Amino acid sequence: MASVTLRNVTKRYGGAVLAVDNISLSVADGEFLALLGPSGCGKTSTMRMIAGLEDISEGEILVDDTITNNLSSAERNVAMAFENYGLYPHKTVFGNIAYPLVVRRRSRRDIEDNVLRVAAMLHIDDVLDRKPAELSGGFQQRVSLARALVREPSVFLMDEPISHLDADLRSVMRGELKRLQKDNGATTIYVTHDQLEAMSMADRIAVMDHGVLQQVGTPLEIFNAPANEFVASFIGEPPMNLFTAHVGASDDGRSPVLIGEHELLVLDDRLRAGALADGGAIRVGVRPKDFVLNASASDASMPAEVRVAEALIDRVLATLDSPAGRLRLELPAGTNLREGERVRVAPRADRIHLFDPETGKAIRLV
Amino acid sequence: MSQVELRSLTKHYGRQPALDNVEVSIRDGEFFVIFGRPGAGKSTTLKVIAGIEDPTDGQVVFGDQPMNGIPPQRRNVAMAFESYALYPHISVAANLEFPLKAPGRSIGIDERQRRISEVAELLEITPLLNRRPSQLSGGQRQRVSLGRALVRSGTGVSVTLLDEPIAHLDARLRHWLRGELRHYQQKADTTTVYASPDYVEAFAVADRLMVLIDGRVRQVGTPLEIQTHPADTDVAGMIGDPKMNLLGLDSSGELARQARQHGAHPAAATVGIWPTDAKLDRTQGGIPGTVYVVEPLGEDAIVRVDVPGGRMQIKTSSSQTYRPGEPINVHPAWERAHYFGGDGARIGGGAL
Repeated sequence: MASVTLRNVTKRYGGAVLAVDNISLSVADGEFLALLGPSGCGKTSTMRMIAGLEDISEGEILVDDTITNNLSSAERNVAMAFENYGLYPHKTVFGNIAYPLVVRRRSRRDIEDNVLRVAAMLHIDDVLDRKPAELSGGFQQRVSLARALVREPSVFLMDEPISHLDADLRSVMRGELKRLQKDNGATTIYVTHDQLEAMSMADRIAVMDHGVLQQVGTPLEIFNAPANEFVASFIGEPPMNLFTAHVGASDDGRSPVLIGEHELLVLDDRLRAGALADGGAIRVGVRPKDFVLNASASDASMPAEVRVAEALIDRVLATLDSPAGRLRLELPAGTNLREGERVRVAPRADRIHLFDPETGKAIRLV
Repeated sequence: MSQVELRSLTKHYGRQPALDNVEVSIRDGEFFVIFGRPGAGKSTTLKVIAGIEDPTDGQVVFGDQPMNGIPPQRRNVAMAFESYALYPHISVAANLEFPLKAPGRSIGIDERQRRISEVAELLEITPLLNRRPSQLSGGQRQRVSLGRALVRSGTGVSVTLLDEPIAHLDARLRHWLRGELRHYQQKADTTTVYASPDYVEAFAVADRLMVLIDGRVRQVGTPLEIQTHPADTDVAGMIGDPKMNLLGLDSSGELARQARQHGAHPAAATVGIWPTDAKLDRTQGGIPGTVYVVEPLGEDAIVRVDVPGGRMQIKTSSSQTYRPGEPINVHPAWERAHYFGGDGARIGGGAL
């Protein structure tokens, strides 16, 4: 068990390419933290620095109170499961999983018990006597994961450990890994590009883009109050609708937010904080679930035309053309929409997200 | 465009049957989805329709014209397959133009340009038109490959075949394109056969679907028909997001007792309950269970609960918190439960 702290950590490749830009972050003892971002955002570089596989260009990484910058990978007592498996080709699956215990001179009985326990959990107990080359990518990925889990280290690092599994198994493994982590209480740092994995598994999520830490918070904090437009667009499925509106003239301390002549909501002037001039642009974000359909024309709403409607068991997904551009809506099951039908849509006023058009930062009441 | 009929289609690779007596009639102008897990025979079906693979037995018929023995280039089929197969030495624009310039397709340059820009706009690849395929990411290549199939829509193409055409794109683009593909297909009115292992994608775009398991057709119907009347436990276990909960009814157990009390078919061996068709509470009654793990997804959360008969996934609001290991009662909406017999076949239930 251990905590992990990053202080002003920066990573440059070849002196010029800035992969990780001045990140400070702490992961509490026993916490499950997801490092989430698109490919190239710096999440894997960050994890490799924690593991000791990459030098740190600037800053410090601590495990508990110990600065680890100059410790070797082996001295850090971290275990890793990688996207590209790193299995020993000449050893069997059993031999691969057992290896970390063998080098630690654990008893044969102990090794066997632990390998079988982990293999059963990952549904690979049928292939223990095979060689990695005889297995599919999904199996190899689980063997790599099993080898990390069997060690019971102070910190687990996982890099996209389930990304190559098929959708059904991925769903099962999400639940299994989360439950496992809750049971063994090991500090876990989990790298993924999949917002669903991060949301469903992590205690907290650190969202990265272009080497910069964008926001750290619980899944619900990040979902409900994204710090900027990037986080807003990256979290949630279907993704948030984002469009540009303009702010009308203030009247009695309140100003309308308009799309064309259609009023979408009325802003408290305290939100405007001087930055939003009359007629100025503002970015508006509305999640697909946060629209009301067929609001009355007197409500803050706009006309729209149904482009496509997709009926699923528990919801209807629709694409609409509106003055705000093309929108994706998620509506209750049974909502009857015909293609070409004209409707009125209103964003739920209490669920609207606003962003500064220049900086992309969320605008909030303070 | 035309109707496509598959008559007793069988395909063996060596002694392994990839397709086993597939029989289906795809209607003119229909958006038809082949839905199945990896290895079910989806791609093989498309390849046989395209003429890239010959069937071991059976026939492919376009309209009233048997296609057996007719080479792919004479079938007038537009295709986008998962392996992109772009021409590496020419630009994206030239790759898109290529199928429009093939011999026998007299499409003028203005019309070619119009089609290319329309498709490029749809697939968000307009800024890439002058690049070479080697300068593109995997997702961008996949869109060019898809564009090459779509660009021919409405030029007398018999059928458009799309094999997991948006599988490698990011979530935002996948969501947009799904709707857009459907819209585009309806506008162009081309018979389209689309293979996908993804429930949401398959059910969102299809007019009708064919569920393929181990090379055999298990069910053909509209998304609504399959969702409300899945033919058997195998089909039911493939649909939903999360998937339908299938629980064994051990005759002496509490689950079976409650199911019978709520009108379960006497021969039912398995009950199917949608994740949205069960409520959780801490009071008396219902099925006693234990919370396994909770996965928040924004406004909703998936709670996995161990009950007699299996582990359920229940979709609930994320405002309620549950701890792993906590005892909980599950209240299924029994009037909407599905029942399956000992052989897995549907025997009743599922009213909506």
